[in-house]
Amino acid sequence: MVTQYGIKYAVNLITAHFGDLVAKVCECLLRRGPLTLQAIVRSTELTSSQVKNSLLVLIQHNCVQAFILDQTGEHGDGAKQSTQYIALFDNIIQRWRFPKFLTMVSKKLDKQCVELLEGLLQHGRLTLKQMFDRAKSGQNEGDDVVQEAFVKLLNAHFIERCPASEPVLTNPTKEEEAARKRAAKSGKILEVQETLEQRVVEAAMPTEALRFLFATETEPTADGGKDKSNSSSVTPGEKRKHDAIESEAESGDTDEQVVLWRANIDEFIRHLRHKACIENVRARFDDGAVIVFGAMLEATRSAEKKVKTENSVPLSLSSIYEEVIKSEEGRNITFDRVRASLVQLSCPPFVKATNESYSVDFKKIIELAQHEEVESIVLKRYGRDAYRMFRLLSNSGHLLETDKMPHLLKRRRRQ
Amino acid sequence: MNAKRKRPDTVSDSVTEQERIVHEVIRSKQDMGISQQDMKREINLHSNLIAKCIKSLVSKNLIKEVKNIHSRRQKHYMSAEFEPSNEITGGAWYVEGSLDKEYINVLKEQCWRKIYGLKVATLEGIADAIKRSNVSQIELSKQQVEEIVKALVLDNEVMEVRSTGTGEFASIPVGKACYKCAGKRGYGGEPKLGALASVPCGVCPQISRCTPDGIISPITCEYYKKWLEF
Repeated sequence: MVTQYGIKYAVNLITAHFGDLVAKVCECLLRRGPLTLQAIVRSTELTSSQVKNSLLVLIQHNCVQAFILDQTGEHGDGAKQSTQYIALFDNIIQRWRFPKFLTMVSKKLDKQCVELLEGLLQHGRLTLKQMFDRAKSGQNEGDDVVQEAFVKLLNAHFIERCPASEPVLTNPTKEEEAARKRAAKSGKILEVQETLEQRVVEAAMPTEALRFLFATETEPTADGGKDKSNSSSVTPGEKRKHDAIESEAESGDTDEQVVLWRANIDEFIRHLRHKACIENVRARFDDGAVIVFGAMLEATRSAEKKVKTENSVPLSLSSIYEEVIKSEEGRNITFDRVRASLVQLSCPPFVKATNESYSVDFKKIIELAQHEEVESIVLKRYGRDAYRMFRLLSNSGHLLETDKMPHLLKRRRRQ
Repeated sequence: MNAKRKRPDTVSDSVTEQERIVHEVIRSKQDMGISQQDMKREINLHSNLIAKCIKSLVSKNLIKEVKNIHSRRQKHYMSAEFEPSNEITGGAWYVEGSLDKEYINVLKEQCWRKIYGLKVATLEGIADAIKRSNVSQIELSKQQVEEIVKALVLDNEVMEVRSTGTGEFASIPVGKACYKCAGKRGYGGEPKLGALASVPCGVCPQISRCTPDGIISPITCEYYKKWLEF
């Protein structure tokens, strides 16, 4: 849920980066939800061309996504297919982190990669040709140098193909709704309501196979994926991912030279999340355990489906060992030491062991980190006694009478 | 009656009738004693008169004033033959009615060092280790050790875990509560400052009133200015 302050901040960012006009359109979408072009024009009282240009800028910079909400199912005949635009709040907010992403790449990869990424962040999205041109006019780099950097970034998943320009979203049919409700009631599936923004983003995203695919041959007939079917008309009821490929094919993105690429924000956030977890482990355990933990994350990172995963993919002891000895620091660690570190990491339960395989419990690590953050604020703001009382109450998890608190605390009313 | 008695019962001739009543009431409270306010409720005499009686009884060494940690502002009285119970003195942790912080801190550090040395320790293990080392001839009961260790847990110096019976818990029965040092820093270091706490705004008591164009604002805030000068 986006708060008022969130919207204010997002608008501030957009104003700073793109000016008042674009910010006005963005604010309209943030406050009023997804709208059609006409609705935006009416609401902002700007001219149609002003709104169009602003939307183009916002879409270019991945702050807005266009989509078509297919209303056919509800109203029977007469397919109502008007394009709507939705502001992508999460993407807007992440804009303030761009310098940080550049720092991360400069640490992990090389200078050319940083240059390339900078271009992508500045321009929102670029084709490979545009990246070459930019490099030539700027640093006079050859195409092959740029392509090498490009491939490095792609392999690390720091860049991705741009999403579909206008995916079609179908509302689930009545039968599907009913079936889902029944399943949720019987407890079979966890009912997680996706917001419209999430659904749109998911619908627009290319398939995993396509997302980081770079075909080095640029044959005119190369289509980058086997999913492209012959029909060019989109019919409702087809799988959403299929629709995304369809619309990509429709817009003629088959030629590699005109495929648009952009920075993959998700991957950067995932790296930061992992980094925070590693720092947490470092504060509690010895270096060996930190190396083993880091290796587990490295090995399973590309398998994480979404950024906020709760558990990493389970790994066997031997896979973990193989990953550990790959790194510089981990080269001399013995198999037994790896096993011992995994036992260490189970208390507090950062790593769970089930059936000979181990997985990282992100949820637990982050929960503990969140507690520590709050306790730090309590300590600084209210003093040590309040800190102890807070910890006592949050550890016991239920109500306590003032008198039951040990003598070692001063007596005060329970807050 | 397990209250201690020091001298045999003596009633002086010079005690007036009211003083005798007051003394009886005080004595009936044995090692818990009674405050002046509570006495007024029990004895139907004017408070000035009660005060006078008390003064007289104290001067005759029949009653004495003691410190009660539960009601520090009020005076608390006890018959001379009793010693104040742990409940009103606070036991080993209190000296003269107030918390003996220095003593407690010394003990906390000692306990922490024992836990650090043992890597994983049960309460019994800690108590044993202290008894064996016997730094300053401290006699600590198991309950006292528990109180100290619990205080260390609240200070986040030590964490409580359940034994799994394997690995480092090999010698400890499964499910038993044991203690480990939390974190790698030595005893007494400040816990790591959180992100929000390291920004002045994160711990500011006026944050709810802070607006860009108000009297309290980030633009005029001294703390913020200082923080930005890094």
